[in-house]
Amino acid sequence: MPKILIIEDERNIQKLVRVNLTASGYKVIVAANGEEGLKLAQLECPDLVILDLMMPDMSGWDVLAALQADQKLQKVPVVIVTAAVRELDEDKARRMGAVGYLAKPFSADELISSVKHVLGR
Amino acid sequence: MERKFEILVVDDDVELASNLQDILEAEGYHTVVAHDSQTALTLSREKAFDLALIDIKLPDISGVELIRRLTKLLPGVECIIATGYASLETAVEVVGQRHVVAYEIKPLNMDRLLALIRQVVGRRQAEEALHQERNKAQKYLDVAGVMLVAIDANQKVSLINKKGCEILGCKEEEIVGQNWFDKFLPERVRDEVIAAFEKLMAGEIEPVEYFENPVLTRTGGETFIAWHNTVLTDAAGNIVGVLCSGEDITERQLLWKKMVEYRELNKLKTNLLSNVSHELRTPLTSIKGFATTLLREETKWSKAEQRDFLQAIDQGAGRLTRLINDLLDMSRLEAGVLELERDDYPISEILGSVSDELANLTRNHKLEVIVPAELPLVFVDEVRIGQVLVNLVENATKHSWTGSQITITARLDDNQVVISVTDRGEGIPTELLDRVFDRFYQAESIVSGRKTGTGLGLSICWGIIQAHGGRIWVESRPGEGSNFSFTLPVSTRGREIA
Repeated sequence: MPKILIIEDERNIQKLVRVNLTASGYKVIVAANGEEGLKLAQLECPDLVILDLMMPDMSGWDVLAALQADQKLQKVPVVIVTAAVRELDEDKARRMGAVGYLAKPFSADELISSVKHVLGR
Repeated sequence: MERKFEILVVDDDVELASNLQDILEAEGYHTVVAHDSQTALTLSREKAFDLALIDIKLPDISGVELIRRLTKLLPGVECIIATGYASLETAVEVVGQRHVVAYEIKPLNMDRLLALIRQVVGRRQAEEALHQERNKAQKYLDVAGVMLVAIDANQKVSLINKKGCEILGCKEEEIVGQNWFDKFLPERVRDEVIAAFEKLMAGEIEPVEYFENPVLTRTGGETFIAWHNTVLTDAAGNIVGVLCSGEDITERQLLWKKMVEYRELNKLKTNLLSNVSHELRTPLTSIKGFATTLLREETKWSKAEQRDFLQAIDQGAGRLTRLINDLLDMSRLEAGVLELERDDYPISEILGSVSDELANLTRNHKLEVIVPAELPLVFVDEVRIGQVLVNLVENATKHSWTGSQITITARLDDNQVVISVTDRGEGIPTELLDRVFDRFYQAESIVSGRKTGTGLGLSICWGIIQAHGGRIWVESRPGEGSNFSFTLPVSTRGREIA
């Protein structure tokens, strides 16, 4: 069962992603901030990370950089979640290991199909 | 075109006077004759003569006295005295006075006299031409929209134009000859400018082509001037002074300041937009996400799950509504069109109207409400004051830890009711206390570790209390908590009852 790590500070959005991906047959772990997310990533070695860019303290970009710097984790694909799609620097995101993005607001279908797309099912 | 030269001949010898008139007219001078002093003075009141040819011995008043009175009437007139040997001494006395250019002894030598007159005319014409040139030059200076000042090597003003007089609020004669630096520069810049000026005069530095400094005006005010300078040199190339053109940029500076303020505000507004965008998309993501979750046919959700998702949608919709209301209120307050529906209310009723909302907000905190029973009625818009209370309590929950106490108190103070919302949270750093009511300003919360909301809540509170004629303020100690208080006007009816 593929393991997905969600790093997201908004409780309702954590829940939204968790219930849908769980129902689609994934094992989901949730972190409420970047620091916790990195710890869980090292511990659990997920198959995919869903990462909110706009978070307090450690931003999504910082998390991306930390994942890239970690030999064990740099190959883990990341789907970023952002509210400011127009300002998103896609090249930078790709360079830093992102394989796709979800723009807020997104539907359950968009979420599930992008995950399936990345995990190849 | 050259004007005709005006000559007055004063002689009681009618024939001689008439002869003189003929000869002078033939020379091209306009000539008028008087046979006594009184007539001469009467004529002088009507016409500005250039030259008066005066016999020293006249029937009514003496020529000497006539000259005195005549030159009073016509400050520009010049006189040639005609005299016989008998009065020579008197005549010699008069010569050397400013207006008397020569004397001729009778009988008159016409050639000599004419040569003398030509000489006077020639000189006066040259002087007039020079004067006109100077007037023209002054006009050029005066037409300039900038202030022009020439300062000589002794720091004295040698020239100023009309605009310069206007800016300084002084007359030309009050400026020319004065020490420029002592009289017209504020003390705080004086030494520095003098030092630069002296170096410039010594040829040690090139003139700074552009600089800005203030000048002192008559009223003691300061006007900000942008200067352009050039050095003045004599024929040998020695530096003898400096010519400065100055433009009043007080207004420009004000505009600049306004623009900076505007930019600040704009930056805050841009922040607001990006905050609003984020604040809108977060609840919208809940609404869209959970609605589409429920709509998916691939998954069957339990009743409890369905209810849970619907609650998340409802919460998202509530958050959106509050956000939109805040934005509308803010724009109403900015436009000054916030309408109040005021009436007399007891404080307890206002609190009661928002009690559910307060209870919901403080479900993770301990809320304590202390309202004495004997408070007078307040004359307010109940809904708006309820909104202020909700905003302040919500603010308190954001900035204090779960389980900590939030207290609402009301008391009577100097015929106003003061309501306070006190938390035991993180408090506000002293340097930020002034800013918390600013539009769009957001303090980062340590408790939640982020900036939440739009930064509008407290400025809306401020606007609503202002609209009621009240006051809102904050006291805070970092690490101990914050206390927001506002005053409400007591109802006049309430006072009568009391």
